Amino acid sequence: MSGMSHLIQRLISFHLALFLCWNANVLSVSAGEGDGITVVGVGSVEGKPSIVELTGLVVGQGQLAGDAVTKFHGNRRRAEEAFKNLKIPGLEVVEEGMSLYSAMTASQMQAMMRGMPVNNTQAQELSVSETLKLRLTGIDKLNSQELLETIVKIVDSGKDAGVVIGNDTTPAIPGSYNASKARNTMATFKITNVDQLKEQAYEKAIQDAKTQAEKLARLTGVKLGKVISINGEEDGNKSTNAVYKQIMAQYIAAGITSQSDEQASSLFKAIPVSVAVRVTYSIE
Amino acid sequence: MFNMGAHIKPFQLKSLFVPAIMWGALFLPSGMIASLFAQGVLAVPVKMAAESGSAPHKMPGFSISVDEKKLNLLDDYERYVRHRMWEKALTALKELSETKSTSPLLPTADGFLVDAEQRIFLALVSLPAEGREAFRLFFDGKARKEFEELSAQTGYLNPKALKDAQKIYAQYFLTSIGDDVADLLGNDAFERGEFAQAARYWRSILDHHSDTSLSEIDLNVKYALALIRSRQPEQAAANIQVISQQFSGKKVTLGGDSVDPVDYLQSLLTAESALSNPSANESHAESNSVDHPVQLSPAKNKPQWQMTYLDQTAAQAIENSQSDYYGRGKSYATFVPPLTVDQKRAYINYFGVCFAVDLPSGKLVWRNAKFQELGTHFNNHGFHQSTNLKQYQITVSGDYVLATLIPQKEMNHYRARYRLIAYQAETGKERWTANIGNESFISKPLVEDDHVYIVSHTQNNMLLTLNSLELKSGKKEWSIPLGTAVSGNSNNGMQKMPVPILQKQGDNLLILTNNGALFEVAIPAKSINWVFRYPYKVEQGNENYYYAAVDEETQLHTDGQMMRDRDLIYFKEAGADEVFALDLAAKRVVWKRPVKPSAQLVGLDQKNIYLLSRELEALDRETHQLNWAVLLPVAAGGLSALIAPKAAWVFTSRGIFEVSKTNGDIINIFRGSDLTSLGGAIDLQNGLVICVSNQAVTAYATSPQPPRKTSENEKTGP
Repeated sequence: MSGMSHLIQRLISFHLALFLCWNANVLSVSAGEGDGITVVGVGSVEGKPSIVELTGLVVGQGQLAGDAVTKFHGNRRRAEEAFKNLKIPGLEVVEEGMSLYSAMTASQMQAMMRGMPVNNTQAQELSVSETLKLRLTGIDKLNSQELLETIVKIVDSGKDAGVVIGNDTTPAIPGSYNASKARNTMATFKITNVDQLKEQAYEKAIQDAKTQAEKLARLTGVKLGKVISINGEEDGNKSTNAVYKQIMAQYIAAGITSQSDEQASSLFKAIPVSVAVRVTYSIE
Repeated sequence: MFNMGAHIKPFQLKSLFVPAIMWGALFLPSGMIASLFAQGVLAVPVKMAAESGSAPHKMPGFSISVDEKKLNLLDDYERYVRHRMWEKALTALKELSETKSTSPLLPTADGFLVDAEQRIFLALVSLPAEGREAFRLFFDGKARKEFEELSAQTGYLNPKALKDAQKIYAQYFLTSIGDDVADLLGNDAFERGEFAQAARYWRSILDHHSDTSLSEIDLNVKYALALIRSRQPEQAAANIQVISQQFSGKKVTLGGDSVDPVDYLQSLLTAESALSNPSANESHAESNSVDHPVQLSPAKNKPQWQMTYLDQTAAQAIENSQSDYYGRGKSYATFVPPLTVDQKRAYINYFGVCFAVDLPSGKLVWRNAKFQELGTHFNNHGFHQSTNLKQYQITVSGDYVLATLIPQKEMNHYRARYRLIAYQAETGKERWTANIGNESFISKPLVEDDHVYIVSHTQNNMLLTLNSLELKSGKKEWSIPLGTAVSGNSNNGMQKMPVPILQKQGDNLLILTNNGALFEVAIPAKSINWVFRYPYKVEQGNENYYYAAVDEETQLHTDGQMMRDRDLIYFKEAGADEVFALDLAAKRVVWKRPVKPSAQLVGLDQKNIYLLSRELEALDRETHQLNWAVLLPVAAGGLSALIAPKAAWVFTSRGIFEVSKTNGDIINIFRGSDLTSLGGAIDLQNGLVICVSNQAVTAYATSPQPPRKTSENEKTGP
């Protein structure tokens, strides 16, 4: 009997905890893990992209390996010259590495997909490919129209030179449909001064945390003391606080976080840099 | 000592060989086995097996029947010759000559099938000196006697006498009277107008009767004359050069006058070339070669005219046809209709709707049906079942436009036949429809003088037949069965018949079957001179499934093509992954190399041959190495290119690309005004660059240049 009552007690506690968590989510605050008031402050600043990046794929395929290499060298040279001849200031071509592979034919892949015997006696073509990153800097000085025209020039020039621009939309298995490949994202926009923007965002986050803590203190009739602890976004993963994680995910989802000084977006608009801090204030 | 008789045939050797190896492997020391292999003792039957596997009539692909009995006799003869068993060899030879053939062709060792009599003749003249001596010893007396009897009894113009003379020639050519008989037959053939045959008789004396008492200069002059008359200008020119070198300053008597043979033959050759081929400057048959730079201004994308034939109804119907089980794999959307042009008009066959466009103005002159009716076609299930896009063909000659199509009223028929219909070029009025039994026409018609040459087959029958029709009436003049094609299966299990390509050179007709065989047919003799066979893989699996990927060669509607420069012919068949360079005079493969199946031969110049798929490739004609390749946005059929002196021009989905012939660099892009199309075929006529896409035909004016062609006849199209 005592076991049953213990179970009921635990269930009630669990539901209570869930309720509290939901409340905390709405308020973006949580009860302190120790003494004091713990709040999560969020700060976000926006930066105008200054870089646009396009991906180009140069391929040489041939029945004979020598043909594949000749084609690759020719296509690579022509691609480079095509971009160079555009004479666009700030455009650079970055090599992303070369690869060699031999792929199955469309019919072989189809047969394999359908569980049919694959005729491997057919000579497979050798492919030599290289991904080129086309990086255009200084786009923050251009208006949308100018930028669009410049990108279109690069895309057109690449297509005319036989470069596959953007992500490869060819289905992995010919004839099959893959929703993720249905849309070809041609360009990625980037901001570069992410560290600087983060600093500004932290300032805002701290200010936000303080405002929230003061509000809670006023509502509960206590006096807010000094800061006991601060956790920045880097510590977020270590935290057991589900609320904190949720907020982090919500605010950071807009951009791609990375350790580099760049942040990317597929849209040409101001890119938000968001941070969250968890601050615990003592109660006096 | 055990003596293995020469009569043991290769297959018997093979049957002995396999158990011998097995027992040897069990009981003989391994070193001895290795030693036997090293000495070639055990390697011989393997080599024979390999040879028999590559016999031209046994290769996968196009099937040509061969008289096996005669072939075995020939094998026996050649083996006796190898073993210097002259008596047996000559007995076999006699039997070979006297046996009646069930098939007109016999294979050679290098991939050819030649006329059976010619093959036996070749076997005879390849006898070594010792064998020839034995031959004369055996047959000289008899040959002389028969020849004398023949000359005493009848004149040589008598058909029976002629037949007897031919028999003596075939059986006793190596005897002392062989050259006389050949000369006699040569004279007779020349008088009857069979010039190619006459050339062969005289050539045989020059090649195989070094001890002839006949005048060598006379023979050479006669041979050159026969070559000129049989419209073989390259060989004739080569022979004139031989005469000028070997008989410099010597004269011959022709028509009672003493003339310099070189000057005389040269003037004849020039006259004959001008008469037989008005575009003699164009040595590259079927190549879109342009002898001057093409000038299109990139600033002016405005066309001289444009005519759109893909209307909304048809476009929607083509879109809908993608959901048809039989239509889905045919890539209608990328189909570029065939074009043919004369001095006044361009003619197009768009899924059976044939029409003519006035070249200067772009106005529609006539059409045989409404474009809107295509919507009905595409909504018709029977259309998808029957249609083979490569069978829509069109050609023009004088006032005749010939098209192959399925008439609309027969569209509902199960496996409807492709008809050959002649229209009046000026008005589009139907002149005739060829009706030969139950034949379906399968190649582009080739017109010369008053004859139409076209290949056909009976529905549900793979036997291909070459037909000669009368141009004025469409009535059959004669026909030759070529052999049996091996049809492939499409993704939906329907037959895919190969569509042969025809090309005429002099008196000979070349037929590329697109199924593993290249034919040369002698038109005057109405017989097959030779067939070159090579393995051709045909997809015959039963892997029929709806969502099968449409491969690149289907999307680009890649066709087979052959291009000729003097005696060298370059060809690549549809669906094949090899390109061949063949020396027609020497009957040997100069080179062959792998290429992608979707590539089509589109041009030829002194240095390269050009292949187009989604890239333009330049293969060196001598080394067959890839000199360069350039990726182009090619997205539809009608694969073609204009090959100018310094650049090649290709009509793509992103405009007309001018590509440097030096390194494949893109020199210029002329966007044009058909930018929503997928690109397609390109041609140059009357100073107009004519581009045919999947939706429209557009003409762009070029800067004033001398006209490339003056012929009223059809020129190469897509």
